[in-house]
Formats: sequence, C-alpha cells, structure tokens
Amino acid sequence: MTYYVGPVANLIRELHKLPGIGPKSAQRLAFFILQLPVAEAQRLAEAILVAREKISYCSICGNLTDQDPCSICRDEARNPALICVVEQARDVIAIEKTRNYRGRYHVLQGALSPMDGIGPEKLRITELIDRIQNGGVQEVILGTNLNPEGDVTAMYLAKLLKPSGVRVTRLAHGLPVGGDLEYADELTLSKSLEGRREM
Amino acid sequence: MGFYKTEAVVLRNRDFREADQLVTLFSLDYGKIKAVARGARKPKSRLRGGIQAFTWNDLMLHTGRNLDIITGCDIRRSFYFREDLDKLTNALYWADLLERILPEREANPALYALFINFLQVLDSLPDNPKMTDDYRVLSHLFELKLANLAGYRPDLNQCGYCQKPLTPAKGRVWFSLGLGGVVCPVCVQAPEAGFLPLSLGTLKIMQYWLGMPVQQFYRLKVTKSNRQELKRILPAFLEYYLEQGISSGKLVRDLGDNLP
Ligand SMILES: [Zn+2]
Ligand SMILES: [Zn+2]
Repeated sequence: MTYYVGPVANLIRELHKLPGIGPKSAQRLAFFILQLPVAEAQRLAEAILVAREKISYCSICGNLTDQDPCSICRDEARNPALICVVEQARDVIAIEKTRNYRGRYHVLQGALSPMDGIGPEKLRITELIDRIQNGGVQEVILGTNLNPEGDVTAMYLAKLLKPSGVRVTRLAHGLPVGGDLEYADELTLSKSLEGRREM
Repeated sequence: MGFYKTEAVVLRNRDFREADQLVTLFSLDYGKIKAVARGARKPKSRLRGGIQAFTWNDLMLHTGRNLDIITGCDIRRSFYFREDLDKLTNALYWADLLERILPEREANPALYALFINFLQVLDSLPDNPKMTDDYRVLSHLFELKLANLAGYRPDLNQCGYCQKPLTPAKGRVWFSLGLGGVVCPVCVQAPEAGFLPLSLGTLKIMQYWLGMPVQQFYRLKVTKSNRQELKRILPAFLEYYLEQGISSGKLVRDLGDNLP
C-alpha cells in the first residue's frame, strides 16, 4: 500500500476494514471509486454519512431504525406477548420476508461465543429480561443461528428465562427447501423427524 | 501432494467468501489443517453435514495454493451436543485450546486419540443440568492431559529447585508456572508471584490423572477445594506456556455460574 499516494492508500485502508473485503478487493473498489464522476462519489459518501447519522438502534428491541421506538415496536397490530429473539438486524428482515410472523422482536446484536470472548454482558440480554419482567410477554421464540454460537445462546437464554414462567420455544431445525434427503446430514434429518407436523 | 485422505474432527468452521466455509480440522495424519469447503453454505452442498463443529469424518482433501480444499467427507459420527449447554460449551473450550496449542501440519496421533476419547466420554455422560461440576473436572483433566501430550508435561514428582523428591509429610507445596512443576516448601517458604499454592491432595490427583485413562475420571473423588486449586493452576499453566490469555475457559465456567 506504500506504493500509493496518501489519499489513495487511505481509501484502500478504510475499504479493507469492511467485512469480507480483502486487500485485493479493497484496491479494486478504490480504483472504481476514483474513476467515478465527483458528483457520484459525493452521493456515495453522503449515503454512508446520512445512513450512519439517521439510523440507530431501537431502545426496545435493538433493531436498526430511523425512529425510536422502531416501526415494529410501535405497530399496535403486532402481538406484544410474542417476542422472537434473533442475533442480528438482518435476521429480522429474513423473518419479516416470510410474512408469517406477527409478533415482535428482540435483537441481541451478537451471539455468545466463548472462543471469541463474547459473554452475556456483551449482548442485549439484560434488556430482554427487563422486557419480560415488565410483563405481558407470554412466549419467547429463540431464533438464533443453528451453529455452536447460536445454540449456546439459545440454551443459555432458555435456562435463564425458565424461572420467569414464559413459554420458551426454539425455531425448528428443518430440511432446507430444495434439499435432497440423501444429502441431509444426520443432525438435520433427525431434527426434522422430531419436528414433524400433523398433516 | 494433490489429493489426500485423512481422518479428522472439525474444531471450528466460519463463513468464508460468498458461499464457502473455512474449516479448522484436527486430523490424525497431519495435525491441525485449515481447509476450505467450497459451496458449503448452499443448502444442497454434500459437504455441509461433514464440516459442522465436532463432526468426526473421513475426509478427502486436495492441496491448494494457500488453503487446502475439502473435496469429500464420510461422516463417522457427530459429537455436536445441541441439547446440552454444559457439554457443548466444554467441548467448545477444548476445541479452542486445541486450535491455540496445535501447530499447523504436525501430526500428534496420541493427542488426536485423546481428544476423540474425551468427546466419547462427554457423549456418554447423561444429559443432566446438575452435573456442571463433573464437566468442570473433566475440563481440568483435559487441560492437564493436553499439556502433557502437547509437550508441556508438568514435573509433579520432584522439586524444581532442589531436585529432591517431594515427601508427602508436608501439607502444602507450590506450583511454579515458570519452572513448569512443583517446588518444595523448603525452597520457597512465603508466597511469591508465579508460585501457586498446591495442597498434597490436589497434587496427588494431578499425579494420578497423568497416567489415568479418561474413562475413569469419575472414579476419583475431587472435592470443591481440589477443584478450586485445579482451576487456579491448570488454565494459568496453559496460558503461561502459550504466552496468551485464554478467555474461553473462564467464560464457559461463568456461563454455568450465572444461571439460576
Ligand atoms: Zn423496536
Ligand atoms: Zn526444593
């Protein structure tokens, strides 16, 4: 990077900080930006700034929002007795796309990960307990990822919430749509057997 | 090397590039390997099941430019403990220790066998939330046996200073992190930095553990005070030799403590 003059090196360095962007991609993006018309580069820079300034976390559910509380937490038509706990704001989008869920959310902003030094205090767990203690919650659906971090988080929360008396459920581990049975791993297959439904 | 085969347990996998996963393996023939499972995040991938954490596999790999490529897997069994918080978190702790302690591409068949053994013992324990203490003892046993097979066997029989065998008469000795073993109460009399108090009872447990098959871990009575000493000594010993902080062990223990 020392081959580049200051501003170019700086741009590459900043882009390199983005997730999934290696040094080569950072260079490619930097050169793309450098050949943009100034007006377009300005729009890009502004879009980043405005989004960063206007968007914050909802004080209730932790989702990304431009208003506090967010539109889902303000929506009277959504069942406040049902909370789906997810790791990230992008998981809210994924569930919203199903158009099948009418409860509310709680975004933890991460998952427990002993290997990465992420303990309960780094997640929005106290906020979740507070919401439940304030009353009115009947069921918490644990929608964390189906990997070690997500499973540790779900089991930890299930144990933590048990004394509060709310019903705690976990998203079923099913077969992926379009997944051939013969390629499904044994865990997925046995989980989808357990989670089978009446037809 | 082109194509090669080995038996391995998955220590960890992470999302990598668009649809791939980067997998850390503990293999029988090549020790720790980092390899890419291409397309493994797609639902139809044949590799998906085999590269999940704690899956015991027969793998086919191909040498790559930087990272090797996993081309096929045949699952022996999964040690992924999805239903038991203690089992899963302790297994994660062991995997974290192995990831840190194992050099890349250096076979250690004895340590590999030990790890499989520990996973089998963990699997054989009943799912019981009241057994947290047993899991902790098992994790301390893992720490000691891991240190031993990774080349850091602590000297538990003679004083690291005067070289005299420890006489069982005295109530307390020291464990020296720097000397990697015990020191007698004649050579060190008052507490000093890097010297951890060690009761003879706990010392005997450690001596016995070094030669004991993993399967027998529950046969030896480990009291709460033994456990506290083991907790102070063994993780610190590993951290001292690896020259790095290892937060996973404490985090796993705290997770259990914080629960109602
Ligand atoms: Zn909200
Ligand atoms: Zn001595």
